[in-house]
Amino acid sequence: MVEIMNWGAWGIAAALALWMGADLLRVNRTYGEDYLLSSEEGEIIDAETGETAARS
Amino acid sequence: MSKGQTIGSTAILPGAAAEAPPEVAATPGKRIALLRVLGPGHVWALGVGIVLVGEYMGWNFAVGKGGPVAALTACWLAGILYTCVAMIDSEITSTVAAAGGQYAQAKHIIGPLAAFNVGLYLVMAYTMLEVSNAIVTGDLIEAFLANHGIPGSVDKRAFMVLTIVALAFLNYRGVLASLTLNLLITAAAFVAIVVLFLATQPWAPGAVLQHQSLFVELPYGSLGILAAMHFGLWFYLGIEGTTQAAEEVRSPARALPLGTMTGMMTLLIAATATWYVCSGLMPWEYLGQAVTPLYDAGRLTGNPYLEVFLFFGTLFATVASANGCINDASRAWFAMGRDRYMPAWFGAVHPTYRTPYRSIVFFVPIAILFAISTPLDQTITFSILSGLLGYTLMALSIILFRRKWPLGTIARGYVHPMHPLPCALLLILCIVTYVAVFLGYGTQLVAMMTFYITASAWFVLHRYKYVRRGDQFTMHWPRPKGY
Repeated sequence: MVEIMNWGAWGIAAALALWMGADLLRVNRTYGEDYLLSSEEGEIIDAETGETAARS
Repeated sequence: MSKGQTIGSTAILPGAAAEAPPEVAATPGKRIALLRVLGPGHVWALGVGIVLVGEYMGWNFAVGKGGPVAALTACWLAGILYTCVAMIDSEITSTVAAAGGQYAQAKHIIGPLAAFNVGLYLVMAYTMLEVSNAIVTGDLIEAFLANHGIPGSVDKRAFMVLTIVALAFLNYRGVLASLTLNLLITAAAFVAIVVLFLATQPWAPGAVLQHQSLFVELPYGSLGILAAMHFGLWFYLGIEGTTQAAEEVRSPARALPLGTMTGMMTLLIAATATWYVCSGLMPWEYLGQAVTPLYDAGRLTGNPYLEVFLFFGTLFATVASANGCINDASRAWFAMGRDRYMPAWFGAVHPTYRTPYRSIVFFVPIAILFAISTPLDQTITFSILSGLLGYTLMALSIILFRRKWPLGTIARGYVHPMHPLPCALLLILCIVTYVAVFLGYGTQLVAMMTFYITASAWFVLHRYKYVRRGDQFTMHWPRPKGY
């Protein structure tokens, strides 16, 4: 039973790793690099709530 | 940006990119961002999930260093240190709501070199913690099967690799599923501690808990308290990881302070309850070197259901910690790639899952390599030291933040009280912990400082020329006071 668990763990890990590697390559080939790298640091929209509470 | 967000000239609704055909999604002018889907519960699960494993194992080495009283003192002193960290973190991150957490904070407030170092501290701390958790998962499965008399030899490497790859896969596929899993298993692990605490009947001293007969004061004198500080950090190490979710929460100004503060309260309760139960069930000489003290405490109650519950609590806490660490290390690396502090290639977002997929995959082989080749105590020490360096810079951050942008000059989601007391306490406790670490692991401390100084020289002399110097400062803040 333990032997099956060992091989099962290796098998699942290998399958998941292969899937991730294949998907990474597919995405890299399908989409333009400018688009994939177009993310920018976020901004917040509800900051005045805490500031008002702190000053009151 | 709760329902959708406008990025550049394009409105991107959650899930919209998943449906867009590639030729549309890749049209020039279209932009992409991490998905804002998380709430305060997920932030709590991220912070507590990373840390709670420290209640299940590791903290008890503080007992070995100085006895139970020293461990409790270290637990509360470290609690003060981390409360200061959580307060400072909450104020800055509710304003600098960016992936990378403390890295982004340092970039905006101190400068590029500090940001580079903080980014490295974060990546090292979380990756080494992930590796430690993977090692422990393998050990736990082996111990559980052996305790239940199941014949056969467990291949621990298979379960270490499976833990790392499966959690990376989950993170790759989306932050919501990943942190919802963390919420469930972290809550279960916390409930296991509460159930154990109640099962030991703390209202009836002597019935189960034997503090009177097991208790000793300070076997190594007051120096034991100093020595215990090193492992006292283990009760809370990683709670600052909540800030890495800043670009993926629906309302950063509300969710980050709320999730971080409630997380800190949860940990203070769990840490004290853990110490109380374990020190009342085991002699300090055993407790000080136990591998899984809470699981052992469950076994010592003689209740088989409690034993199984505590085993799963330990396993869940370990998996939750590894899961949170993969999330945080990848966000920090992604943020550094986006600013060109590291190769820009790592700053990519997956068009369907909206995760930093290249950064997530990048750390899989590195974590596996460390897990199968490095002893547990070294990965833990590397993680603690990297965290400690980050906390020290955090104290500097808040002083500069309040000086450059006093209250009222920029919008803050949370303002921490009693400034500069938390900052002063944080600095003092960091210095005390450096001394403690130097006493126990002086060589590793010096080796790590050498590594970070060498990396800094590489950044200044080589890497910084690739950084987009103006573009990296994205906050719409007024010019800092005095500049």
